[in-house]
Amino acid sequence: MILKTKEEDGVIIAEIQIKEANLVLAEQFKKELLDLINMGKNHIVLDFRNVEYVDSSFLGSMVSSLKMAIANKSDMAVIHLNKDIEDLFNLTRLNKVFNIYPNKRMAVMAANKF
Amino acid sequence: MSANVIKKVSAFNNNADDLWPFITESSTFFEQQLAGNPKLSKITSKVKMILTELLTNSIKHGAVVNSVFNFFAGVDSIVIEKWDHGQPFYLKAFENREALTWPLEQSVSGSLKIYSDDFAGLYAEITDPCSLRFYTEDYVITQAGASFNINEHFGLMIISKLSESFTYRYNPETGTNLFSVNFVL
Repeated sequence: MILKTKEEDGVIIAEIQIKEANLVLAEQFKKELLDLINMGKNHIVLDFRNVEYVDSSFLGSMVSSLKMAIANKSDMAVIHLNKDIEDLFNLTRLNKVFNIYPNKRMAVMAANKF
Repeated sequence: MSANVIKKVSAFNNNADDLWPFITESSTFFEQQLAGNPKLSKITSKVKMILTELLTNSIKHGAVVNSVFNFFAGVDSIVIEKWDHGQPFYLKAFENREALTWPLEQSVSGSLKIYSDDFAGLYAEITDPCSLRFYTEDYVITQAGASFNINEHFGLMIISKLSESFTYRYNPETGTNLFSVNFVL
């Protein structure tokens, strides 16, 4: 499993348990994320605390899953991005489509305002 | 690039499991050559991102056994070249354009849109019938949130945005593809 999940105040915190988020695991990651969405989880927070780098394949899986989440009236946020990954989100302008928070507390608070 | 350039040549076996070791080894070369540069951390980060995307592109689309990388570290710039004999860069049909083959016909000129979404577009300027220069355009965002059109492919755009120059050249005589990335330090 790539995602280790727990629920807090109605929000699923999905910790990504890999250091190298690349094409090798992009499909599996997407499948696990889609499973969460299909289970009807309305608020999903992806925790990047363990991730050192992300490639375009992994970003593609995230975007694809986000589209599914939006179609299911769910929302998805990301937390604990390191500097390089945050730069990559800004570069690809994914900072405009994903809600980015520094930590879990802020992400959970924001999710419960929806 | 100045005359004082150090070159390293490495072969990548296009095995996804060897991606990270290759990136680490290659970025170490630049770290050693550029030791003392105050921007070293930022440069290394850029090198890793560019390499990641070039390698991923090889694994996903190249369908070849090996890619050869030339790394050039100069005083004021870095060049990364990727050579292979895989499939030529595919210019698929897009919007009103039909798929194109190499070398490009003389009637095809100017710039081609490779892909785009609500946020940005990746374009290629045809510099000759066998060469392209990639560039990007960020669009003014008119809508975001609940409804948007966003691409799921970012690799070439990432490389293009991180570099001063990102080009592709196909040699029809040898079947060689060359991607070349240059960025100023």
